[in-house]
Formats: sequence, structure tokens, C-alpha cells
Amino acid sequence: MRTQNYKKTKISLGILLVFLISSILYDFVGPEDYRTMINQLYDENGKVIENPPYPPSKEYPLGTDRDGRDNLLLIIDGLKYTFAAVLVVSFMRVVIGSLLGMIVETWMPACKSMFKAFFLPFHYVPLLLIGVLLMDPVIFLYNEIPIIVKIEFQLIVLFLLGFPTVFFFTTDFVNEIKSKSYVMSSYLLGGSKLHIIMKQILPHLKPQLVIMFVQQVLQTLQILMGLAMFTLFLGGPHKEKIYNTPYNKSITNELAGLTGQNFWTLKNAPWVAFSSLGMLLIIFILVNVIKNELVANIEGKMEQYSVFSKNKLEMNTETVKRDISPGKFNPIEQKVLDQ
Amino acid sequence: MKINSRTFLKIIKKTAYYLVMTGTFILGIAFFLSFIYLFDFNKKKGEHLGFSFDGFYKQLKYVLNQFMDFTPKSFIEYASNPTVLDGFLHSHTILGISLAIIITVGSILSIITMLSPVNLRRKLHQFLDFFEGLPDLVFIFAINMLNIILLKEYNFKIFPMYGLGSTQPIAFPVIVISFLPAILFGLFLLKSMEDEEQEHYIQFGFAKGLRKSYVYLIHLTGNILPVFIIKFRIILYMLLSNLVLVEHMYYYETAHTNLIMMQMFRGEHVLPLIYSIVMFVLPVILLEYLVKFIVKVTVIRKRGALPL
Repeated sequence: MRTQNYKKTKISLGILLVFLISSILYDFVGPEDYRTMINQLYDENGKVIENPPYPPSKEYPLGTDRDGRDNLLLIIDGLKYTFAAVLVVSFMRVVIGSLLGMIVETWMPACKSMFKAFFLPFHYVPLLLIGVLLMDPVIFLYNEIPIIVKIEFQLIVLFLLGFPTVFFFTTDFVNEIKSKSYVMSSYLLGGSKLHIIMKQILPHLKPQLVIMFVQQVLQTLQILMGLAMFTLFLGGPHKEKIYNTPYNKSITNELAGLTGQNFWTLKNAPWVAFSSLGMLLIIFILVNVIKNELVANIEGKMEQYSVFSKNKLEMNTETVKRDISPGKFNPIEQKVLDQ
Repeated sequence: MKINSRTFLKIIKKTAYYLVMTGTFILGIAFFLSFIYLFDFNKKKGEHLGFSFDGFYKQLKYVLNQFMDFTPKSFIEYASNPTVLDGFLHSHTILGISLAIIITVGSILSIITMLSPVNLRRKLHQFLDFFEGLPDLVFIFAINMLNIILLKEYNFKIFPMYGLGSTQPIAFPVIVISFLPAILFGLFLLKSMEDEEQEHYIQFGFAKGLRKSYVYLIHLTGNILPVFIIKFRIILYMLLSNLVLVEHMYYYETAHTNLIMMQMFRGEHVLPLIYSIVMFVLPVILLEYLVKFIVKVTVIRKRGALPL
């Protein structure tokens, strides 16, 4: 794999890194309060002219939420929690899932079917529903459970939801590699199982795991967004009254949570819901670009019909054009003589 | 008929295998239903999540004991309850209509794209590609917003969205949950068709002067079915997941998701919760296997294509 093929990945990663750094820096340089605006706007006569949520303006590019809090500040602050949760969960899934998958497939392949039977509900029941069933008894509004304990539990549940996918992908992949002739030869020559894993399976598995990691990032984000619609925000909800009407708010201001808590503003203040959703959409697009380029590079061919690359038909035509050159034709007489 | 010892041993082994698998499956369900008891949440500020193996073991035993109460009669009784039946019918009506729309729209999209001139086909493919990997929620919000704009600006209400009171909308959830899956279905179909298009028999068909539409619809479509079934499963479960989300978001009271949530809050017995989940996913599982079976009988056995 050549490094110059990862241009889009580098750019996308760079943008994501800028987001993350700005979110981390917010804690040190950002304003302490998201609310710099007064609750109500008055005219010269002291008459109330507007109440929050305020629409986007020069001072507030993404407007404010129902409590008069700056949406942009909320998003910047919440980004790091989204990134942290998604990266930690995806990393855990890929590392533990692939490690266990390799161990089970190499040393105890008979147990694979037991794992399959054990995780069968994950195969048929929507993951979102399983997530809701597991989280709901813990992440409700009025309980004494500390936030950090709730977050740890949520991360474990999120890990569990994606673990079977990685595990079974690894077992199937290792099984496929094991059936190759060079691995069989290695066995016959006395290679240990550990040697075969390290030298013959891991080099093939590593690139696949990178793609799997990116896919898990997307899936975790999706599930986080779905759970937020059930008020299962990362760290749980709080109902502290800030301006007027109390409503369920995300404690961490994590992006999916912000989207979930502001769903009901769609009718009267769509900018509130769409600001965090728009940010999530940007992250989705960037991660998708990374995934597509990784897949294209790992498969050893250019991305087909992608928005950013040449299309398959064009490439085929080019190949055909290149192949039909005068030098490739032999004169008939010469051909006959050759025969 | 005399059974020799080897056959007998084989039967014993097979029976034991299936018994172990069934046991593991039941243990798996019990494990997930007792999962939260594995943790100790009784912590003070600053402390971390702990484990509670005793509590987990007790709950696991309790859940397994409750499994013993299972009888087919209890399931039938639960399923024939009018509230449950209403929820089931409402949710699965939405699911059925959505599936029909997805298959129709997706097939039309892919066939139109395939039969278009090369440049247009490339543009259409690029357009469809853009939707791959995007979250469903974006489209749910966007369609919801469109409905609100039409109502606010033009006083034009296409369909009711929320299931408040006695309203039980069908059109809105159908559109919302089938929008993205229909595009993805079309895209999957298109990709499968393009892969198959490179095969020699297709090129040979063109060379013999057969019409493009004839080659695609008669020869190509039949041959991509076995590969396509694998993708179809993804669409089915995506639809189910979207339905859970939409039924909860828009407060559909007579819906199956609501029923599952109710059983979860009650928490008196695990069986009603399991019954409601089974009722929710069973038609989809049956449909998946039915499609697989039909393709196996009509395509794979006939043409010897790859096994599923």
C-alpha cells in the first residue's frame, strides 16, 4: 500500500483532529458559561420582544437553544465526549473481539458454534432495542448513580452491542486464511499455532481490522444517536431548570445527546436540532470518506463510482484505449511466418 | 430396520449437540436479561463501576426459573390479547407496506440507472453513493422538517406525524422508515448488477444483438439473486431498527415498540417481554428464511449458483 493513496484519509483525519483539539481546548480557553445572552430581549421601552431560542446571528452563528445557551459552544464542548466514547468503544470492540476470535478459531474452534448460539439474539433483534433494554434501567433521570459509573456502564453496553460482529468476522476470516495452502504447508512443516497467527494470519487481518474499526465508529455513532432519542444520553439526563421550561438535557452535552434533547424544537426552532445533527453529519461524511479510501486501497483498486474518484467505466475505457495501440498488432505476414 | 452402532453414535452425538446449543441459546437470553445485575451501581461520587457476581448469579437463577413457566398456551394467550394484537398488526402493517415500497422503489431506481446512458448512469450512481453510510436520523429529521415547512408556509398537511390520542398514522412512518433503505436497496442491487455485468455471458448476449433490457431483466437479475439475498437481510433489519426508533419518537401508542417498553417497565415476569420481542422479530426472520428458500429452490438448484 502506497502512502500517496491516503490523501483523503489524511485530510479527513486532520479535520477530525482539529475538531477534537478545539473541543479539548474549550475547557481551558472557552467561556465558563454557554449563556452570554440575557434571557429575554427588550426594546427601548423595556418591552419583551423575543425569548430564547434565538435564531442564528452574527454573534451566535448557530443560534441558541431553549435556555439561551450558545449552540456553537455547546457543540464544541460536547464533541470530545462523542469522540472519546466512539473511539474507546470501537477500539475495545476491535481489540477484544479480534483477539478472542483468533484464540477461539485457532485453539478451540468447536466453541465457535456455542458463541454463535449465545449471541443469537444479537443476530435477529435490532441492536438499538437491545441497547435500550440494557441501558434504560440504569440511565433514568432520578437516581443516585454517579455520572462516571453511568458512563462506564454505557460504554460496556455499547461495547457488547458490537462485539459479536467483530468476533464472528475474525473467526470467519481466520478460518478462511487457515484453509490456504501456504498455511497448511506451515502446519505440516511443524509451525506452532502461535507462529501461524503471528506470521501468517495477523498480516492479513490487520488491514481488515482497520476497516472494521472505522465501521465500528460509524455504527457506534448511529447507536448513540438512536439511544439519544430514548433519552439515554451519555452520562444520563438532567432536568435542571436554566431558563424557563425544564426538559431532559444531556449532562455531557455529547452531540448525539444534544440532537436527541432538541428533537422537539424542530417545529419552532429547527436550528437548535439541526446544529448538532449537522455536526454529526459532517463527522459521518468524513469517516465515510476514510472508510471508502481504506477499502479501495486495501482491495488494491481505486474506489468505484465514488463522488471523489474516477469511475469504473472511465477506467475500463482507458485500459481498453491503452491496450489498443499500433505496437500491439502484428502484421499478418509476420504472424503467418511466426506460425 | 437395524441401526448399526456407528449410526446410533452419530444420532446421539447430533442430539447432544443440539441440546447443548439450545441450552447455550437459553443461557444467552438469560445472561442478557440479568446483565445489569452483574454490576454494582451503589457507588459514591468519585468511585468507579463495580461488579456484583452474587447478585448476577441470583438474578440468572431467577430468570431461568421464570423460563420454566413457558408453555405454548401462555404464548398464544399473550399473542391473542387485543392490545398486543393491535400493536402487532399496526407495526407490521407499517413494516409490510414499507418493505413493498422499498423493493419497488429500489428496483426501479437500479433498473433506471442500469438502462441509462453511460454518463447519466455515472451521475446517478454517484448520487446514490452519497447516501451510503449516512445516519437514518438525518432523513427522519429532514422529512419531518419538510412536513412542518409545508404546513407552516402553505398550510398544506400531507400526513399526520404524531400518534397522540387516537391518531395512528401509517403514511408518515412508512415514508420515514423506508426512504433510506429504499435508496440503499437500489444501490445494493445496482452494485450486484454491475459486478455481474462484467461476466462473459452478458457481453455475449449483447454481441448476439439481444436488447439491453432483455439481458438485464431476464438473465442478469436471476443470477444476482443468490448474492443479493445476503444484502437483503441488512435492509430487513435496518427497517426493523428504524421502526423501533420512529414508533418511539412519534409516540405511537398502539405500536409494538411501545408494548416492549411497557413490558420492560413492568418487569414482573420475563416471559411477556420475550414474547413481545419474539412477536416483533419473528415475521422478519420467517420472511428472511422464506426468501432464502425460494431463491434456493428457484435459482440455486436450477442453475447451480453459489450456496447461501
